[in-house]
Amino acid sequence: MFSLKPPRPTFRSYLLPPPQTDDKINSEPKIKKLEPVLLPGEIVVNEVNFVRKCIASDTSQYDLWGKLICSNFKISFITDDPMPLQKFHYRNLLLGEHDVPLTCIEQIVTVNDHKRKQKVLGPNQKLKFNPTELIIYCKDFRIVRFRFDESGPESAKKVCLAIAHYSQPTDLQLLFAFEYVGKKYHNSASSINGVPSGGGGGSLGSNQRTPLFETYSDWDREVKRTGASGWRVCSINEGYMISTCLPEYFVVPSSLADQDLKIFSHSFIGRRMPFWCWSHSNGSALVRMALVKDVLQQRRVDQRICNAITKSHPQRSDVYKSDLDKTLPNIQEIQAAFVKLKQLCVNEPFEETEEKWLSSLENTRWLEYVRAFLKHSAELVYMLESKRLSVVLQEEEGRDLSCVVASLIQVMLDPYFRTIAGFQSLIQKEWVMAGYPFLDRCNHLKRSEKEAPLFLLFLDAVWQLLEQYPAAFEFSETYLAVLHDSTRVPLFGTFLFNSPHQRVKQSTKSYSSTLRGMPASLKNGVISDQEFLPRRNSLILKMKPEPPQHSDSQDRGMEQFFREWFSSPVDLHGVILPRLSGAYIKLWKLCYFRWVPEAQIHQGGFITAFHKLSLLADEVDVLSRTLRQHRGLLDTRCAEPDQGRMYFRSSGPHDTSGTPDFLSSSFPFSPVGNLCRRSILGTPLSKFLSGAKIWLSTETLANED
Amino acid sequence: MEHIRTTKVEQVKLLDRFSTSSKALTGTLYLTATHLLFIDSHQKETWILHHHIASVDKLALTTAGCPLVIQCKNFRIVHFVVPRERDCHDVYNSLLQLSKQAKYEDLYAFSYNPQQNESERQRGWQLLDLAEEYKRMGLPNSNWQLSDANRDYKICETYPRDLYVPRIASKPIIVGSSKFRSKGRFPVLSYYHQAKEAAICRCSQPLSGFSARCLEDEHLLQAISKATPANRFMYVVDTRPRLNAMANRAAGKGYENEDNYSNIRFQFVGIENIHVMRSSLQKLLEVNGTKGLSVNDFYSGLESSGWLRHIKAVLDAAIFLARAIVVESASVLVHCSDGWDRTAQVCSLGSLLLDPYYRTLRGFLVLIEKDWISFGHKFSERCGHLDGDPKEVSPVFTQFLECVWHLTEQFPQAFEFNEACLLQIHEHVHSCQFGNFLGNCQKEQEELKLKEKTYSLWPLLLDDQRPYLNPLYSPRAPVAAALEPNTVSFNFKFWRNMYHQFDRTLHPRQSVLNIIMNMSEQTKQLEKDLTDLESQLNKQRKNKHTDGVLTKELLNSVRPESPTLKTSLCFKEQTLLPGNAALRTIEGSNPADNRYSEYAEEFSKSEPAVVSLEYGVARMTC
Repeated sequence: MFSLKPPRPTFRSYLLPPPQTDDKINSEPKIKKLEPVLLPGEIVVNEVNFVRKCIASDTSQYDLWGKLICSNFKISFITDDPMPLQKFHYRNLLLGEHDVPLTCIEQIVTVNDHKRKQKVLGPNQKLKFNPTELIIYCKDFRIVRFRFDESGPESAKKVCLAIAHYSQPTDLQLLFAFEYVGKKYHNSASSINGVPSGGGGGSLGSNQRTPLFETYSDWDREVKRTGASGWRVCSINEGYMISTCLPEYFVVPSSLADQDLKIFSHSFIGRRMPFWCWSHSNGSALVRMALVKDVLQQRRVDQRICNAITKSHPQRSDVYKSDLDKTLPNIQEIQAAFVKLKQLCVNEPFEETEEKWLSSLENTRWLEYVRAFLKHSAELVYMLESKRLSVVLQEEEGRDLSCVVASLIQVMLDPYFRTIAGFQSLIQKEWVMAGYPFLDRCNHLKRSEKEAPLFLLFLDAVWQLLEQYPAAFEFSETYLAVLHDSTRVPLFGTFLFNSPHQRVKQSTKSYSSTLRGMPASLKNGVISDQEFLPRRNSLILKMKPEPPQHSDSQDRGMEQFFREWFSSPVDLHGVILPRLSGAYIKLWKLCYFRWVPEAQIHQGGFITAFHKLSLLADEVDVLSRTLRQHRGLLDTRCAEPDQGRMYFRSSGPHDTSGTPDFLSSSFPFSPVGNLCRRSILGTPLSKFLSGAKIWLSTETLANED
Repeated sequence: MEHIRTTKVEQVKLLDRFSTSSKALTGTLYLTATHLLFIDSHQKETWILHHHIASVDKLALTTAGCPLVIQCKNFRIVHFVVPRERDCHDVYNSLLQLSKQAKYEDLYAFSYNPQQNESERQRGWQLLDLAEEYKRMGLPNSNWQLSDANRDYKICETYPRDLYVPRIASKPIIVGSSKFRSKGRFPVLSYYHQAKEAAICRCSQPLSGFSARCLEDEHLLQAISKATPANRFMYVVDTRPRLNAMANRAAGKGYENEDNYSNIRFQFVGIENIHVMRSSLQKLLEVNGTKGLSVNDFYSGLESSGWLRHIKAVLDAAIFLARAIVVESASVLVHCSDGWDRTAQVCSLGSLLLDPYYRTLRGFLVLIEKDWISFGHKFSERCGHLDGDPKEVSPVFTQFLECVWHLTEQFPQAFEFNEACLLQIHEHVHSCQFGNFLGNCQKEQEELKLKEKTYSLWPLLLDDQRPYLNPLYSPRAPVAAALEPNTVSFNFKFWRNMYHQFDRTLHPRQSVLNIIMNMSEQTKQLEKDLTDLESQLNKQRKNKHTDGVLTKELLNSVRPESPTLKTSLCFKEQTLLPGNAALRTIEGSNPADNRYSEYAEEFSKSEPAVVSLEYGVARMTC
């Protein structure tokens, strides 16, 4: 157990279905010696040989030898050496184990030991010394370090400069997505490398692709799905004639004519007039809008809009307006919290933070902000669900905080958005099409003052819900982490642009969407059978008698609403509300600690429970399918038995095979190879003796007997 | 009962401490000989065992009445408002008397009767056998033997009769060593690792002062290392902080001098004493009591309580033990001051990390029986079973359970038992309902004749294991060997289900555990359906005359649609929660509002608890 076993050549791809089905991949010719694996359109810019990749911070014993290349897409370290101390190899279809996409690089530091010099490299900078060491800090909390002791000094320097140059482009057109000409991933409707695209496969997925809300019909379908009456799809923004940060089609109150809208639009910042997000089955609608520029006009315009929204409500209920700028932390504060969190998780040695871990975590304020968004969203859920009021989210530009709040409300209220297809359509609807400035917020182009991790904050908040209601979601936390990672892979257009207009303007070809490539293997095993996930307005739900507490809901206070909701049994296909007390808002360890070797629990962690759970879910699935076959009820779904299955599959009923030994708390990611701050070496006992913290007694000794 | 002045108070309000709403449940408060009972207007019953009451406080009179706050050892806090001050005063005084008994014979265990006959009672006490356990470890063998030195508790009163020592350690050496050890607790074997031929041994601190030596003690330690063939050195682990151990030297106690013992490696691991632990828990309870609701100061409050830091220290020490044995095949001798608190924690956790048997339900109970009960952890003093010195009370065993819980969280598949099992044990360590945890050592337990006068807890846990089993348990997992937990500070978290177990408003709405239990149940049902159908099919095939269409129809008529397929998860999960009627009737302690039956209750009104109420009333009337 504690011995250092030689690494085992287990080679599994977490993005693909498990080995029994991916013979195709295994039989592909082996990668040639120290040749980079390039994507179509990718070119090598610079390379240097005899580079050492550091594995531990205080010894070179485990270092890997190889070649470092910089391409227009990634930096790649190519080696023949097997990774030490690692049982599981994380493989991404696009990126090798040692690859870092250029857009994921946060900071590049070059060091010269002999001259004791160090320089943070920006684009187009000169380097006056030959680097002996290159340290790359990544946006996803990784740190990679290379040594150039044996490599040619000039070529080492050139590679460093190339990385600095290409990782910090000044123009959008320089991003790799514009070079990428891959056909493999491009607009492939049916399958991506054998993995079904669209809603993640499964019984729902085959005929249901993620709606991208680029067309009239997608919006129209969404209006019909939610049963919204009094709302219509309007196409006045076709060709982005009105606003460049609104989608071409959006939904407005039926009582507002196109002509009115055109006039109103001038009053709003960015001409972002109110647009509909979602409707509750009781008729209350969720609407987002920007602030009215002109203070004098404000009241009149507001009044008109509110009247129109009221008219669209079947009960003519009032409108509840929520000014997000006043109630929630602003993006600068959120960014500051995130920077502190990163500092805590990545940069500081654990020996120093250990004793003060909890208060340091609290001081970052990250959890506080996650909680604030969840709390505010839950309160607005109360307005929609219980008070039956339409809710208008107001924000200066309406493109940042409203994205988070609007999506969270819908995740809490509508079970459809807790499926993979639904969640992806939600991101497409409330983020991509609603004009969340991904380009600025992800900082793909090094204009750092606009950077803010709002999308991550949203995923974190969803994770909190997932943590509290594990069976309410179709996807798993790995899915959320991979979704977050995909914002840093500049291959697909989804997370590259500031607005749908920019995307259309900048591109002459259509991009495939990240959201269409999510494989079924990221499915959450906890969810109950998909057949039972009714759409919000489907007949099944309407025929169900309303729970009694809903009848006299008009005058109840918010607190009572929450108390009653929490004291009745959960309906996973209905509303879910987060618990917000201190112990419930937790740190998303998989996301923030997956690259930290010290944080790993070998052969433990939640993943081992998930493994067992997957086997059980799979067993249930296989058995019910067999049952159906016996009954002659074989339907089309059974024709593709592998599509909806879990990543971990049982070999048969009563599968007693134990937990695979490559599992660790950071699975499917592996932190080995990421630079760690403390040695992972030495005999375990000596390490323990030297590294273990001995708590000094600070308390009085008087009582010791 | 002479202490009970008022048996029934009406119009009492029960407040929820985590709700800011002024709305409260109104009901009637009953005082029985053993329990405090509150029945609210919805006929929901709240039972509180008198022995569970840690403190009763009367707050300042308000317009609504006189507030009475009761804090329990199982972390339940109830806040009553009694309309009349006189009633409140009576209840207050009665509870003060009833919750603190002066004599063992007045404890609930001596009157509790779960309607078992004598042979059932006997069987309960014989369920676990420590002699068997030492046999399982492979003892006695060529290096270790059973010593009869303490047969009559002559050498050490607080040790058990049966002790394993190195074969080459003669009786004079043992006697000599025991005189050099605090309370006579000389080094004996606690766990033997067969594969590595190394042992975990335990003792109390040596009476070394600044320079005293004892040749017999030095011999005994040498004998232990000679009994460990693979490594000629052994570790001596002093679980105290260095400063505390040094301070003890002034009192003629202290720690081993490496110069005098030729074969030892000495190590402090810095676990704080019982007083520090007690006040740390107090701070923890303050934090989760009020600040639990805000995310802002919860974490820093948790940190300043120091509780998780102490838990980490205990686990780190246990990992040290496990590593010494697995990596270096070295024996380890563990002590603290008297060798019954920190030593018990560290030895038992070390064994738990090393041996998968202790991670089974039965094995875990054996571990508690061995390292805690038989080796004389002072349960009665530490839990405050009797009205005694409050400075002797300390949550040492609670800490052990919490360490185990942290391990189950890090390795969800490695343990056969679940959280409910840990909570149930914690409940009964304090309930004084069973004899297992009464008294402070084996000798005292024998004097109290517990095996004749009281019942054992173990049958409750072992006879119907279902509620206590972990559905994720995979016994053949690679972790079947030693566990290697990660003790970086952020892997420690607040144990909500322990410290908030009665605060229903703070419970999670859904737990993975329930879902899995549900799923397993579903699998079983489907498998049954499948075999049913297959056997039907075979029958049909034998009847060669039947044609295909008929077969199909027949099959469909067997079970038109599996019920499990139809039932949606959210309703199904409720019924599968542990906490069936059978459990409640045996258990008796908190019958009606058992925390696991809460959800079930919402669907089926719980039956009135037959247990002990009847009995309590009977006692009350006489």
